[in-house]
Amino acid sequence: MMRRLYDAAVAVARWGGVASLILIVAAGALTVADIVSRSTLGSGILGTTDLVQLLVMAAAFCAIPYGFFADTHVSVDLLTDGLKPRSLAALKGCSALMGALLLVGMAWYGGVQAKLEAGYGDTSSTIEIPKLYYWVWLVGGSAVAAVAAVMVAARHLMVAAGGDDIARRH
Amino acid sequence: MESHFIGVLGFAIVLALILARMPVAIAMGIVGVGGLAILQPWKSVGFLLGTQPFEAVYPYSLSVVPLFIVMGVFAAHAGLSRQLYQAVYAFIGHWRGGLAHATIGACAAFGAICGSSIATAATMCRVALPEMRRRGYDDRISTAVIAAGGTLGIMIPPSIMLAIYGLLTETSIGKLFVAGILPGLLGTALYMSAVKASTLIDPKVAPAGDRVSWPGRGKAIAEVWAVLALFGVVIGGIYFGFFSPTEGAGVGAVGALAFAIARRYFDSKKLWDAVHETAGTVGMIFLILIGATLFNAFLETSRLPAILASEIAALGLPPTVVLLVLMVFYLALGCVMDSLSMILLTVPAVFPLIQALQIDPIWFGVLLVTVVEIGMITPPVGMNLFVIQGAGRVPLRTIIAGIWPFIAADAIRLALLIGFPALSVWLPSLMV
Repeated sequence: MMRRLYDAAVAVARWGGVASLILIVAAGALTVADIVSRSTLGSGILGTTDLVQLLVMAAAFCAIPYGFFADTHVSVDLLTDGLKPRSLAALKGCSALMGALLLVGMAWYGGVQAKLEAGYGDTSSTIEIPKLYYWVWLVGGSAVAAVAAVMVAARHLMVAAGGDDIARRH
Repeated sequence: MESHFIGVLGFAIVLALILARMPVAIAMGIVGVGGLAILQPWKSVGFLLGTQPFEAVYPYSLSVVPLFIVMGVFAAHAGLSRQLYQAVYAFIGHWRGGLAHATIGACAAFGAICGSSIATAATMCRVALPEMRRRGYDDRISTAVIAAGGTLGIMIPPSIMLAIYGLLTETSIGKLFVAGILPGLLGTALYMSAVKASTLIDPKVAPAGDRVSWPGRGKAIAEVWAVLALFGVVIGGIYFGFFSPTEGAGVGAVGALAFAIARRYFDSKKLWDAVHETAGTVGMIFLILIGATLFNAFLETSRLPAILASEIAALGLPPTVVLLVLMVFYLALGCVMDSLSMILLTVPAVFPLIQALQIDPIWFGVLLVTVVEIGMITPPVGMNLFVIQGAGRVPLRTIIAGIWPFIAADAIRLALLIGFPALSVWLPSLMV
């Protein structure tokens, strides 16, 4: 059961990684199109800045959950390298739980703020994209990343308790 | 307890959590929120926890970071690094230690389209290490040269570290990029001198290669026109004001992708590797930015940076002395911490002091990135050492045994950059 849940979460995070790369390339392509339009037609594409901000925001929050499974979030192993595997797993599990706590807070209070700004009708500066479209990525991305952190925590804590590593195929 | 003491305590707890292997982003975020909860009512903390992550990711100028990451990833997977290596080797490979010199030159050139030290070191390890081993190079010099050469990617524009420093301190990213050119070239020359010194001490560690004919050299140069064009367009465009750093990054990312597609370098494995590197790096950087923003909100609330700046300014020490003390502090920190975390954790606390002492922010940015570079090859926590250890399957002690001439070269460069600020600030002063 736990292994299946873990696999499903990894799959979602991987698709998030793919989406992240596509969104960044789209931001680059839009920027180039704007420069070409500016130099050939005399005027750029209206709202390029707003759209690039939206694309990068989406890319960032699609990528954060992937970082938990790929173990790319930077940590220092200077003092912990000599620990026994189960102690190390316990340490990693607790760290991931703290991460989940932070991400749940971000998602929750981000959601509160998003609701507030949607109520005010806040929009982006040039082409008036509702700010909610930006907030959705933060709230959704943080929530998915919190789930990823919980799965990673569960994996390490199970190893710390003497169980199997549910990620050994990844 | 006074608020700035809570700030100091927060700093100590973050360091302790980082040393206990908690990811840097989470340590900064958790301590930031905890500290804010002590200093402010929970309603304000909730507001900051909702808004600060948004503010950390929203600025348009931040788009420069993922775009340059993508440019570097595509450039690495498109085989540009190998062609650069072969081009430099064609000219200097017949020198004693020629392959090592070529590796330094190729690292500098690849850094010019990559922007990341770790990516430069990992890429050049794949390209240069097998070749140096084939030619009978000692593993000590061949691995050390890649680890050191890789750090050039952090200084030679476009530099992701300089971009992040610019965002944190509201210093012009374009000017910072241009400021990195001369120090980057100086670093290249000094690393080549370190290779020369190593081969003079023990000629057997790096034998000379074959001389390449002039037609062969012409062919090698013709192969790298795309790299030279990409660098020329991106940095030239920023320098002459044709476009902003973010636009330059967009051009670089799309240009590197177009080059990779045109030469049919992508297969499904390379594409998946590109996804893994991009998502892994982008996710890591943005989560650290969010953690740092929360931690900085706590530091500002504690008033620690302002009090620190006014107390040190009141001592009346000459700015150069303060700068030297800061450099020693960063060198020590670089032995146990990675570069990005160092910058994000300390710059908000240190920069008010730099402003109070009227030290040029561009000069300080270049010095900061230089010491961060040194930290990447300084044992025990030099990130590039670990990259080469993993990618090259070499014991860490072998790399460390060869790294000292390069650390000495870096110390000379740092002294020159402190003694002659014009090396950093002259080129930006000419900008449009």
